[in-house]
Amino acid sequence: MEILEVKDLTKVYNSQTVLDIPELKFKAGQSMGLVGNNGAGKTTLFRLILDLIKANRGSVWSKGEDVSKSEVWKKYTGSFIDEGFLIDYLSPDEYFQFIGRLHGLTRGDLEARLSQYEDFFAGEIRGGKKYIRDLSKGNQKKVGVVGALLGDPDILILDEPFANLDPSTQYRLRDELKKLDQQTDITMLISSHDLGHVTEFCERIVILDHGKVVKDIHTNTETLSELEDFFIQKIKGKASPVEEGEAFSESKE
Amino acid sequence: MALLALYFLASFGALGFFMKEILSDSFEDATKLTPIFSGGILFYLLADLVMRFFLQDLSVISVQHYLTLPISKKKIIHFLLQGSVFNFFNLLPLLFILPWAFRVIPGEYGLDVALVWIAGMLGVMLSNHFLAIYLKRILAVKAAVFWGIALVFIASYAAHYLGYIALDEISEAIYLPLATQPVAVLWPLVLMLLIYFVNYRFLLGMTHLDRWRTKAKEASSLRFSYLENRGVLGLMMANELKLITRNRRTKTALYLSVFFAFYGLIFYTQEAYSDNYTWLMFVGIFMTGIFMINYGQFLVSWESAYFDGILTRAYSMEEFYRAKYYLMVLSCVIMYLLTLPYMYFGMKALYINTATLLYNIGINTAVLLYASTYNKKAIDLSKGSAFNYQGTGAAQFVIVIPLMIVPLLVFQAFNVFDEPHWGLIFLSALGIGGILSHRLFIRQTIINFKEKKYINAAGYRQHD
Repeated sequence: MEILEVKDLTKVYNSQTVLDIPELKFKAGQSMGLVGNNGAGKTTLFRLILDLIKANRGSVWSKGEDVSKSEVWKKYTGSFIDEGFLIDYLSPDEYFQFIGRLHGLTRGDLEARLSQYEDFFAGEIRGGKKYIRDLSKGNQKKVGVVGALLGDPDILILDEPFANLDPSTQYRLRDELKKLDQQTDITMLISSHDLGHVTEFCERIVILDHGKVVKDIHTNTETLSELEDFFIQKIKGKASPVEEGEAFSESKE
Repeated sequence: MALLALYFLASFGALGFFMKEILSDSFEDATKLTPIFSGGILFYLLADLVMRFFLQDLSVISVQHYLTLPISKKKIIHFLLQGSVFNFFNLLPLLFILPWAFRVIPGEYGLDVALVWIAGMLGVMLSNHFLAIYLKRILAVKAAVFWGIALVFIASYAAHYLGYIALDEISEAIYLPLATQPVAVLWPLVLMLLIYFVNYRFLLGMTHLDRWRTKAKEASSLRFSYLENRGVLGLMMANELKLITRNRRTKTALYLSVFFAFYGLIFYTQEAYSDNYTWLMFVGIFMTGIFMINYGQFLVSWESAYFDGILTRAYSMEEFYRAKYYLMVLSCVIMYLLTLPYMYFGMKALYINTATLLYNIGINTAVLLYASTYNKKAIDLSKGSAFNYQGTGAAQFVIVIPLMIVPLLVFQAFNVFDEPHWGLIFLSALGIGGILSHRLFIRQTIINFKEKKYINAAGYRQHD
């Protein structure tokens, strides 16, 4: 069954269509990697799914309910787009405590949950005397990602979770997400510029280009080279001006 | 805060403009008023220095972008120091200097003297400005120097108070020559340059110009455990209290509120006001509601940095707004308790403050909650403190009308029929009605919030 459904979704900024998706469906338990160059519309799509911006047309349905009309999805959707999700004058521990309590975790539950991420934190996050605002970008990201996972969500949305992380932490996070995908029924929507990471653990890859879904593929051994080809073609200018012109004239209609 | 700045400007402006009349009333047999004016300057400068020290910001942030560019450090320091001149605290003294220069000096010493006098007074004012900046910087580095200078000031004031020296005579001796011997105008200007140079040398000796900006404070151990253990609502209130106590701008609002608990002393101690119910009502609304108004004007704007988080987290908007409501009620009750001692001036103070408390928590909370859905300007909590206008829009000025003017007019309607007690009872009843229906107000607020949230979220994402 589809847990998340995007129907006929359009977003226009300053008379330029930045996102135009006729249909996109996600099965429960599926993990989707979203790739595309800057400005392709990845963050816009996530923001629409999280009802943070208003669509010009169309809607997003989560478990059969329109996200802009219901608040139920907030209980089972974990998300981290950017630092705009972090309460930066709290310490990481206070932040986790807050999120945990929102999801009804007891102190013991919370401790157990957080201890799983001890490696991921590399001893730099918990018990510290720093506020989130004084942490490095990478450490802020760790707090945000774990915060998104704390509520045991059915749907997880992460925007470029690997950016700003050091190489070891990137691998740790990748393994963590892979484990989550295999062991639970979670539906993951994860955008990344790192093609290797997403092909590693996502069973489905969607390429966005100028606001449109240009490829929607089931991951197999060929996927990584297929993706690499696509982005190399782009710099060679194969994404011809004619095509872009078409996209533009469509948006005018 | 915008409201407060306007209020200060208006009252200082009036005081400055009518200083001539005020002094000539009090010193009827004086032939010239400028000597008396000069006698007060030193006191003004002392108060000015203290105010600047606590409220004025070091404008370090503005140079951060230049530090990595190939611009010489000397140039950056000059830019930093000269740029600091343009601020609110240099506007206030002008409200005294200019009216005096044009209304009094020409009559007593001549128009040409007035112009020279202005130049001299500007030198005096800017000397104080640079001294305040210097003191603020040196406190962080060489605390001993700061305390040394502070001690000299405190000791001289103590000596004056005990009658060993007369600061007003000293002040007159120092500042009157600016009007009587125009050549004296040189010394304040030289003094200003001297203090400027001391600042310059001090900054030149620093290895990092932005060191005041980057120090990360240790997380405060101040917790609100009682609230934190009272469910989601309590936890959200605790978070908001942490917001207030851990950020500079909100902390300043808190300090100013405590300071304004003494505001009533001005009115209750003077007969002209203490018999006038309407003035005392104004004071009552102001004192019990000062923090609520100062903080409440920017509700949700304070949280602009993580507004996306607010919109996606697993709580209802009802809980979100109820936490804010209880917090405002709490602040009013605390201010009410702080102002209970005004009973010393008669039971009237108790009745007035009780009525204004009820009105504040019944009606004004609802107004502020509803108005918060129109706040769409981001506030950077780490920046600035007093008289920072970031996040200020037309709403912050318009809101004064329902908050303060409407209740005063309602009360005045009873007052003209000589029924102030019925006015108090009526306002209290309105307040109680508001308290009973606060859930309804919150629901209305949420309906509007949901309509406006996309616009507001877009506004909050635009950091300037």
